[in-house]
Amino acid sequence: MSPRTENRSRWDNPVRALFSDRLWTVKLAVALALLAALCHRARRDYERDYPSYRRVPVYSARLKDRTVSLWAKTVTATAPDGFDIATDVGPFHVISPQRPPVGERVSLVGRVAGPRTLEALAVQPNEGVAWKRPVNYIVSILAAALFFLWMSRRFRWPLSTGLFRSRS
Amino acid sequence: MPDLLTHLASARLPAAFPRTPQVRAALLLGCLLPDLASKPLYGLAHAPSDYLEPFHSLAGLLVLCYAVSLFFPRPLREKTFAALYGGSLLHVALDLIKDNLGVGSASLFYPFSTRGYELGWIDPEDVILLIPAALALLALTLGVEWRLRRVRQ
Repeated sequence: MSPRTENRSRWDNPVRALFSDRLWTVKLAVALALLAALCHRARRDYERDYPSYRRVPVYSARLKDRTVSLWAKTVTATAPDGFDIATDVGPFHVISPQRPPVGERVSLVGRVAGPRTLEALAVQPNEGVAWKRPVNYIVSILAAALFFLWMSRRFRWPLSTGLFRSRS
Repeated sequence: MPDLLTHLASARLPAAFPRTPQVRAALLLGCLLPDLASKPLYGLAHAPSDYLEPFHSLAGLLVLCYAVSLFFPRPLREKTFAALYGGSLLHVALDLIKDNLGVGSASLFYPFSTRGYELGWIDPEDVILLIPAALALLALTLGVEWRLRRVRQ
């Protein structure tokens, strides 16, 4: 098979062409641009379908009856009809039959009932979140570091011919 | 998210099967990839979490794994792409065990749907309780591999 015929047959197969060396930097750029476009679109779509609780203090009338979620917020007070939580956009009152103790962290999904007021649909106490989350991050960083150390010992990294070339 | 050690442990057993070191490494890298690509953007670049949803969706991961597979040597790209994607799907499957109050731990079908899916088996903060099990699984897999290597020799 002549080089020209071989070349043509390679481009005849779209899957092989996708993974070939030809214009690989262009293919990489296109893939990253596609991913970035997907991310930008996601921001718009999720904000429309699942509004952030940060918008509730300003747009409480427009967001009435919409559902918002909040993760690991501290309970600051209890009331006969529920409890108050602190957030980065100020306090919220949560109408709920559950009354977690003051100082406890809770996650919740709630329906917007009024200005800074949510009607809880689900409440989850996050016991020990203050130490559990840092442990999670520390273990994750260590695991990733060890993995890349193992990778760096196993592979050579010539960019022109593919980064991951085995040493053996 | 379950910690990356648990993710790594979950992929260690399937990673024992491919013979090529690059494919094995790609499977392990794939199981870390959704978080390796998204968490630094969230923690360091302060990207909104909505922006990062595609990193845990089937379509988003397909594009991400394709981009990463281009860094592997040409003859192995298709196989490493499949391994990267398989590892990423394993990552998402493990993330699904979390109980995110019905909101969902991964929007599997984005950009076709924004609906999140979850199995709701474990409190998201309690996933660190899986670390001892992950360590035991890693030790068991490495032990079996070492033993098999000795038997072959």
